[in-house]
Amino acid sequence: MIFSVFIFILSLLIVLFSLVLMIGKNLRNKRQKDPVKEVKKFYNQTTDKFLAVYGEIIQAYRTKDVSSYLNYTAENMRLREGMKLLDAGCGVAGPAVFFAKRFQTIHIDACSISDVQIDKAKDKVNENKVELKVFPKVCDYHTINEVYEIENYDRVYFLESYGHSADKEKLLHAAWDVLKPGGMVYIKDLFKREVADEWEQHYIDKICKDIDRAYEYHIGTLYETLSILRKKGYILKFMKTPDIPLDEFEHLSISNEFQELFDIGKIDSWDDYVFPIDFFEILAEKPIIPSDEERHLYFLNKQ
Amino acid sequence: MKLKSTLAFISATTRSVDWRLSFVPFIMACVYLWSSLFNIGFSLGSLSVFALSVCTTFGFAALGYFINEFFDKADDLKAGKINKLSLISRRWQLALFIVILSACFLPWLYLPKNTITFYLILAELSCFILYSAPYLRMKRSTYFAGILDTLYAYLIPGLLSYHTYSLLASRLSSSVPILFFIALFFIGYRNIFLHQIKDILGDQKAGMISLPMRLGVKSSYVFLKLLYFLELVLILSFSVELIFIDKRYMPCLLLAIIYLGYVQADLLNIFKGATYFALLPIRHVLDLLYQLWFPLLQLSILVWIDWRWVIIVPFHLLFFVNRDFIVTFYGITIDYLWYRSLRPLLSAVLNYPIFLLFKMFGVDLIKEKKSALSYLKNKFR
Repeated sequence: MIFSVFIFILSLLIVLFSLVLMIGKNLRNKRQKDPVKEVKKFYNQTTDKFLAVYGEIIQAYRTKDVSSYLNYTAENMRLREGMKLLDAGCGVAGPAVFFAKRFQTIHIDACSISDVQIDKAKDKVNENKVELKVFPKVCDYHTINEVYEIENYDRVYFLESYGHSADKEKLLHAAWDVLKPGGMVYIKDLFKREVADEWEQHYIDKICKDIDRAYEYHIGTLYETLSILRKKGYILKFMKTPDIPLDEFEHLSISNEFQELFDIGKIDSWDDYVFPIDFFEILAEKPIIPSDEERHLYFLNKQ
Repeated sequence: MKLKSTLAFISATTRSVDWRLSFVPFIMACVYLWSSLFNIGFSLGSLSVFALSVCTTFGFAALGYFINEFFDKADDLKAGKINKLSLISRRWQLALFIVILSACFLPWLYLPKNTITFYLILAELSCFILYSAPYLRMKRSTYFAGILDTLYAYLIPGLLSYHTYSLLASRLSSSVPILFFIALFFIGYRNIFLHQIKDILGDQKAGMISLPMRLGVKSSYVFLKLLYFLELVLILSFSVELIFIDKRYMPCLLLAIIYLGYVQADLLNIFKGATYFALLPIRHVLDLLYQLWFPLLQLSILVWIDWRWVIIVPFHLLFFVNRDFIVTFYGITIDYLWYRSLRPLLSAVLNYPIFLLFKMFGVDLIKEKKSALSYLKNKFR
C-alpha cells in the first residue's frame, strides 16, 4: 500500500514536470496567421465552388428568386439615382451589377481581397455592359480609406462580407472615412445567437468557431458591432432581422447544399446541433453635424 | 441470414455500438491481464473460461443498457430521443430480456465463483437498478449518477474479472494492482462526465440536472482537466506498479510513455484550456490507449507467456477492434514505412546509380525529364 502511494506521488511529480516543460515550449512556438491573407486564400481557392452552388450572389440568407432579395436590399439601403456606392467585399460583383442595371446613374466601386473574384467580377461587368458604372478592384476592405477617396460615398455596404473581418473596429472606422456626411453604412450579416442557458451558449460558441474555421469568418456579436458604430458616432437608423415573406425564403438550404457538396464546414451530426446564428441588417448614418458640441442636439432635432 | 438479422436486432436494441468497442475491450484487457498475472496456461478449460467471460461481459453490458432503455422511455420522449426498445413489441422485449439474462448468468454455472462473486454480481445488478429504476432513478441525481455509472461499467466488472481469474488460478496475486483499480474508476468517471456534457441539451429537455449543469461551463472544464491530470498520473503509476508486480509488464510502461508522447499535442491543448475541448474529438485522446493498444498489448503478453493463446487474437480483432482504427493505423504505417522511409531509401539506393550510369554515357536523365525505362523505350522504338 505504502509502495503504491509512493509510485503514485512520483508519477504525479513526473506528469506535472513534463506538462510545465511542454506548455512552456508550446507557448513559445505559437504563431499567428494573418486573417486577411487567409480570406484571400480561401476565396481564391473556393470561388468556383461558391459559384457552382450559389451562383453570382454569394449570400446564404436570401429568397428563392435572388433578384427579389436584391430589390429588398436596395430598398433597405435606401438607394437612389445618382448615388456613389462602395461594395465592400463584393464577391464576383453579382449585387453590384444588379444595382447598376436597376439604377441608371449610379456609380459603384466594388472591392474584394480575392484577385480571382475580381477577375470574374470584371468579366461579369463587361458581359453586362456596366463598365461605366461598376469598378471592381482588388483591395483589403480594411484599407478602403487609403485606396478610395475620402468622404466620397453615399453608401458603403457589406452583404455577408462584414463577418470576414477580424478587426471590425478598423473596418467601420475606414467606412466612416470614405462616407460623405449624411452617407450610410449598410451591413447584412450573421451574428452569434444568444441564449440564456450557459451550456447551450457554449455549444453555440463552439459551432460558430467551426463556421469561422471553415469559412475564414469571424462571427461577431451584434452588440460589438452596435457598440463600434455608436462609439464612432454613427447614427443607427435601424437594426432588424431581414423581413422577407416566409414562402419566398430559401431557408438557408443553399448553404447546407454547399456544405454537403464540398465538405466545407459540413455538419457531421445534427444530434447536438443548436442553431448558432441570427441574421441582421443594420443601417447607420454618418451624421451631418457641424461640431461635436452640437452632437447631443442632433437627436433632439432630427425628425 | 436469419442469425445475422437477429444479431443485428439484439445489437441495435441493446445499443451495442456504445459498449462493444469502448469499455468492453478495456474489460477484455483486464481478462488478458489477469490471465497473465495468474499464469493461466492455455488449456481447453481456460479457453472455455475465457469464452464464458466474454459471454457474461456481453451479457452484463447488454443488461445494463436494456434496463436503462426500459426505464428511460418517458425521459427519451421528453428529450426527443429515439428509444430503441420502444420500437419493438412487448413480446420481443421479453424474448430479448431472456436472451440477455442467459448470456449474463448461464456462464456462472461453469465459471469459478464463491461468495464474493455473488456479492460483486449483486452489486453490479444493484447499480443497474439504482441507476435506472423509477423512484430510485439515481441517474437523475446530480452527484451519484456518474459514480454509479462508473461503478457498473468499469470498476465492478474489473474487480469481478480479477476475482474470477484469481479463483481459476486457485490463488491470489502476491500484490493486488490497487492503482490499476483506482485508474479504472477515474478513467470511467471521466468518460461518464464527458457523456454528461455531450447529452446536456437532451438532459435539460428531460428536466435533469447533471453534474456539468450544476457546475456550469467554466468549473466543468476545470474539473475535467483535473480528471485528465489524475488519469495521466494513474496511467503512469499503474504501469510502474505492474512492473514491480512482474517485470514482464515492462512494455506497459513503454506503451504508456510512447502513447502519451504521441498524443502530447492534444493533451497540451486540453491542459492549456483549449476552448470547447470537451466538445471536440480531442476529448477522446486517451481512449485509444484503453480501447485498442492496452488490450492488444495485454493479449500480446499473454501470447508471449503461452503462444497457444494466439487462438483468441482473430476473435479479439474481429469483435473488439474498431475497423476505423485498423484502417487508420494501416494508412499511417504504410505512410511511414513505405512512403517516408523505404521508398525514398530505395529510390536513393537504386535511382542514383542508374542516374550515374546514364551520365557516364552522356545522358542526363534529370534534364531529359525521363525515367531510365522511358528513355530506353524511346531510344529503341
